[in-house]
Amino acid sequence: MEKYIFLIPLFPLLGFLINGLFGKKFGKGLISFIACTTIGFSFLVALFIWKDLLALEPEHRVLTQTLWDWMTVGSFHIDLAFMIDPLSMVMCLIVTGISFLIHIYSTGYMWDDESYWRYMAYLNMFVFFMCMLILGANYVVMFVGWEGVGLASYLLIGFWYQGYDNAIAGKKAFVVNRIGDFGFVLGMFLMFWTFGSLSYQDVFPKALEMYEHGALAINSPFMIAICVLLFIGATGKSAQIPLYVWLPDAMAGPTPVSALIHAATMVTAGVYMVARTNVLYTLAPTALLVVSSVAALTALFAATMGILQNDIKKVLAYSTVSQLGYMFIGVGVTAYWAGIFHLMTHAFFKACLFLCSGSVIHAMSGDQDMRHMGGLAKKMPITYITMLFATIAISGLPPFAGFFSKDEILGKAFAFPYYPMAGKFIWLLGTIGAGVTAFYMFRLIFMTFHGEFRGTEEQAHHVHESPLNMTFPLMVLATFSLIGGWFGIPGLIGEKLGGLPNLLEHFLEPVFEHSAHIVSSVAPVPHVPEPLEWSLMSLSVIVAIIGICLAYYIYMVRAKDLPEKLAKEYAWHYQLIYNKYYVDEIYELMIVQPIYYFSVLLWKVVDAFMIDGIGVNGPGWLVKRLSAGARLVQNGYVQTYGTFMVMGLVAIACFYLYR
Amino acid sequence: MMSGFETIVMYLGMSLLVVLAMLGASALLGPFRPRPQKATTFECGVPLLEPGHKRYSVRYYLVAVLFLVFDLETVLLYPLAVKYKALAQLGWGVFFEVFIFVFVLLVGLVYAIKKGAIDWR
Amino acid sequence: MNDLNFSFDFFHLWQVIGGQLILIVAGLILILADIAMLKLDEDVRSRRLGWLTVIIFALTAAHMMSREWGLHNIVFMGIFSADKFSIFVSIVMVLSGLLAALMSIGYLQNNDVMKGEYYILMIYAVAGAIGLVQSVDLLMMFITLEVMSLAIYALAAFLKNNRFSQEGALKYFLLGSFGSAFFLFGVAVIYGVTGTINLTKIAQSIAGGLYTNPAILLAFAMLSVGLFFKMAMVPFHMWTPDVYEGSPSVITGFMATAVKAAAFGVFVKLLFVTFTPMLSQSGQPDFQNTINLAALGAYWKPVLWWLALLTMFFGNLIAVSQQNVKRMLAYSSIAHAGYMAVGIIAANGDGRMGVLFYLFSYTLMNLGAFGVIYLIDGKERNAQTLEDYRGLGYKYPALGFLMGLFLVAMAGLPPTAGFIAKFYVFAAAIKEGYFLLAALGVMTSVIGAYYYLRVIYMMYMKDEVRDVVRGPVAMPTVIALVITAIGVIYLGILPEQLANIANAAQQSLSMIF
Repeated sequence: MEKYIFLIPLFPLLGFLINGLFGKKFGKGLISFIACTTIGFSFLVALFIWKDLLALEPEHRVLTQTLWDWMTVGSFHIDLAFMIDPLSMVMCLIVTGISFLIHIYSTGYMWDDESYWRYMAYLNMFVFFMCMLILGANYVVMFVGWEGVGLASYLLIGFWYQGYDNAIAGKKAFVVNRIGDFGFVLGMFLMFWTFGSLSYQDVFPKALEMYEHGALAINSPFMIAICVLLFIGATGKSAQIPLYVWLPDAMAGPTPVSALIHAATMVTAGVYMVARTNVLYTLAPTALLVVSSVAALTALFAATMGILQNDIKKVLAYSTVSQLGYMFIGVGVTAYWAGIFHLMTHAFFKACLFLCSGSVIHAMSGDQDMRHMGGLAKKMPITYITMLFATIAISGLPPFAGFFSKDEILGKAFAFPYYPMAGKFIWLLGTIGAGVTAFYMFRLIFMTFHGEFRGTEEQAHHVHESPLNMTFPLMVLATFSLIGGWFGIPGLIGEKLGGLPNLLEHFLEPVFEHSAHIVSSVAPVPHVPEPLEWSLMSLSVIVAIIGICLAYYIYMVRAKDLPEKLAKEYAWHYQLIYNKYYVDEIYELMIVQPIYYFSVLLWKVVDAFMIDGIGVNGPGWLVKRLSAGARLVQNGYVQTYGTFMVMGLVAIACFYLYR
Repeated sequence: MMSGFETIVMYLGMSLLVVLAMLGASALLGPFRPRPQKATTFECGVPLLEPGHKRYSVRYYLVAVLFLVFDLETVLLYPLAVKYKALAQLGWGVFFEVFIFVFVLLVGLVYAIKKGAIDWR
Repeated sequence: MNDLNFSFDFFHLWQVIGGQLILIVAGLILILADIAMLKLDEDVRSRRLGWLTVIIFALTAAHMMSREWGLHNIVFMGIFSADKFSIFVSIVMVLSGLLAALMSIGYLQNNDVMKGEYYILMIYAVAGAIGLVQSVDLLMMFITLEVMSLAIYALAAFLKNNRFSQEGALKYFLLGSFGSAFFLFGVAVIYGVTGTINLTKIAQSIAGGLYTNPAILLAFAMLSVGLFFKMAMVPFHMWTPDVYEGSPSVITGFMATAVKAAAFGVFVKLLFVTFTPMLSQSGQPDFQNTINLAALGAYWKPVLWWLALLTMFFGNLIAVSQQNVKRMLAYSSIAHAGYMAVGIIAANGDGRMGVLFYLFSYTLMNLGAFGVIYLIDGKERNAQTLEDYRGLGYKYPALGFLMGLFLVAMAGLPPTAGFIAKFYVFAAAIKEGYFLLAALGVMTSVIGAYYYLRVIYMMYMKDEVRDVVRGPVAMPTVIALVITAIGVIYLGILPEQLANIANAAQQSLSMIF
């Protein structure tokens, strides 16, 4: 079985190569066939491996496959190797499964695009790199996937490059991600330095061994540095404060791309990475505190930014940032499995939401402004119902998927073993965020599907339900938005329902058991009495219902006057939130501009003004000077060049002599 | 530490002093009456025909470069010729080396001529 | 007189410096062939000479790769050596020459410069470069350095009617002479103090206690500066942008790879053989005392640390504000020199192996990039600015893809050779505890990614504003580009083989005597 692991990334790669190289000459049917079947095969292989994995004893559920020696640095090897354990299995099923659905959806959504082949090739490339990221058996292979998905995302965001903003958005995503990667690479280097390896199966046992022998204290500076640096990488990829700014702009890409890459899979890579590194994070409580605090802030902050967006996709984008925050809260409070659980349910309902919004945008002939929509429920019933399912799921109402996962996270945050006080605070932020989430999501539903249609006549005439190849994925995903949470029913409810097991937690247990041991040996998990747990659970449901009611009151009952009135009355706040707290502007002013001007300054002062003078006013100036007297120009500049050389020599010589 | 260089330094210093003294004396004692005629170039009493900063044809330099080839040849062959009898004891190696050297220069010369380096048209 | 030994064994000589001999003799033959074909059409003559050059380089490479190892590898009374290290670097340079010659066939036609000297100069530049890395003698180093440099100066000036080319070449010539003068003065001082110019003998001599002698340190600084100039390390890099921008594109690629490889090769050789305890690793009792030279590390390592940092920073940072793609790549090549220097500072086997690997992969990606640049250019300086690259990715998909690939490789993204190369040098530095330098290096490479990316961005995400028409694409250029592209990807996925060879090469450094 392990010898088939490589097939999972291989199929999408083949699809990418075939479509990328020859797609221009193929018909659209053939392109779709190649793109969808390759991903479908990957999914099937993943299913078979899953079956085999389940047949093994829980503690032996690790399959590895080494393709070849990739690099050797001294005594240490990096193999091109894949590893499947329960964690990567879950991720792999999510990625290939949802990719398959979204590929099918794309055949409907992108059919009319002139570079359909390019789109499908990019999408397959993305799946290939994503599989590398998940299945890699060491951090370097993960990094390859990490960079690769970044590239694919960049290409797909800028897919409609004719629009100026789209191209800029792609560039922004890439650059911001590179800043995150900087942290990731440094973390990798530091890990290499500390443990002498980058392979999962070397690093974690070694860390445990060092911990047990006392060579590695809990919260040692190295561990904190490694974990925080890796987390910086995750903030880039998974859009957390302060590097979340690229994700809302990334909505410039086609909607299925937003669903697949910028909601369901790629952006969750950071969560996966932290969960994968759980042993190291558990050994560095301070890093966990950083992760969970940043995550809690992001969860609330991004949720508030979603309140006033009018672009349907932007709302969903901020909601993604916020939900990613919840996942990081989960992994940040050592409830790694809960983070992955939320990752899974979020993948279902957020992919569903995006695809529904795509269906709506399709029906509205490309218009994304919710102020032009309204009353679409009657005209597109399937889209409406599926979207409603997903919305209830994200708002966290039982028995939908989001309830179980979000509640698990908040409950675990409340009982954060390392920092109980901080845990309570994180829980508070998260609960408020949940209410805000319910508010803005139902605002979206009400503005889009209820009330009266506010668009043009032409649009009203055009509105229609999408074809089956688009609605089919919606229905599948909506179903999973409902039942997806039942894989991880918390023990408390499970007992009441007649001993329903928590399937996901048990499945993932072997991956996180070492962390659990460390936690229990360091800090006792605070005991939460049953009544308190019940009340916490109901509290979050109540908060969500309050949010929904508020949205109903403002955007349904008094849709005519109240929104405007509020906007006028609280103009200052309104502007602040509407403009997303001006974060983009602040970044531009504080980071982008200084770097650019510093570069220009260096160039002008050091290279151009003092020394060169050539590039500044262009060759025209040079030509003038040359005609004035080439000899003079040459002598002048070469002297300066030479002076610098001599100064350099003198500096080196002085250092050598007077060291 | 006396290393024998002191005398040389002293000698250099003395000669510098003497030169400065002579120049200084002539500047102090000599009459100084500038006139425009005195500023002109003195060339056998004949006025200048043209300015000194004249452009020369690049061919002059080409010939000079070609001359350099022969010049170098002489410089390297002469010592060998002087010592050739002794070196010949060691075998034919030296002879071939000289031959190769001349051959390389010859190729260069043929190339230059064929490319028209001394074609003065 | 008696220690002169003329009874050399030709077979032995052929084994050791056969590569140089082939190139020198072939150069002479090409000179004659050029004048023999004077009657022919210029176009035909140039193309024939080009192909001949390609064949000659291929033969040279074949000879070097097929030579027998294990022979006594020093000839001419300790002037040239044929250790694996020199041969590795030589092969990099021959490869660079080979690819450049392939590209030149098309380039010269596009630019209407059909002079036979072009290829002859290229052959002699490579011959000089090979001599440079093969020499174990400071004086021969100087001579071969000049052989190489003079040929390169002339090549830089090859576009007769382009004033940028002329200007750059003259600057290069003047500053290059300046740099060589430093080197020569360093040689003189070393000879004055130790009485020898042989690298190993110098090592033995100064290891006896002279290594803190101010004169030796001064000479060391001067030798280094002479080579830093060729390596384009800040602040000795000033010539680079002007020269790289002005020179013919293919020659720029050739200079940035072959000359850089030669300079790095000879610097590594000089540094490690003469100024570090490398020779003591050979186990020879004669060289036991060179273990003392470890103390010199306290001198050169901080200096190189700062130079590498400055080089990475300035190179990358200034490249950001460049509008001309060639000039941008010139600054980028400065930055790459900085990364390679990181590998040297590590001063361990992995670092040296990383430098060699870096040189090889950089040769592939840089020459590839310049090949694409000249094709898009058509005629030199026709379309070199960033604006000219707008929308080219769709107009010329193959060229766009190749350019994207080479730039991604230079930015150090996986899965290309550039990523592996950077990983090797940084990993080596980290192993020695230079974490800060590696961190700063990675940071600069983030800046680097920005401007490489910008070209891709222009090609794929902007519509063209100016009707840029690429020049005709010659067959040999296509071959060269395909070779480089395959190499860049292959080394990114299966680097192990080359890394092993490079590792064997760097180990041979301790056996030069």
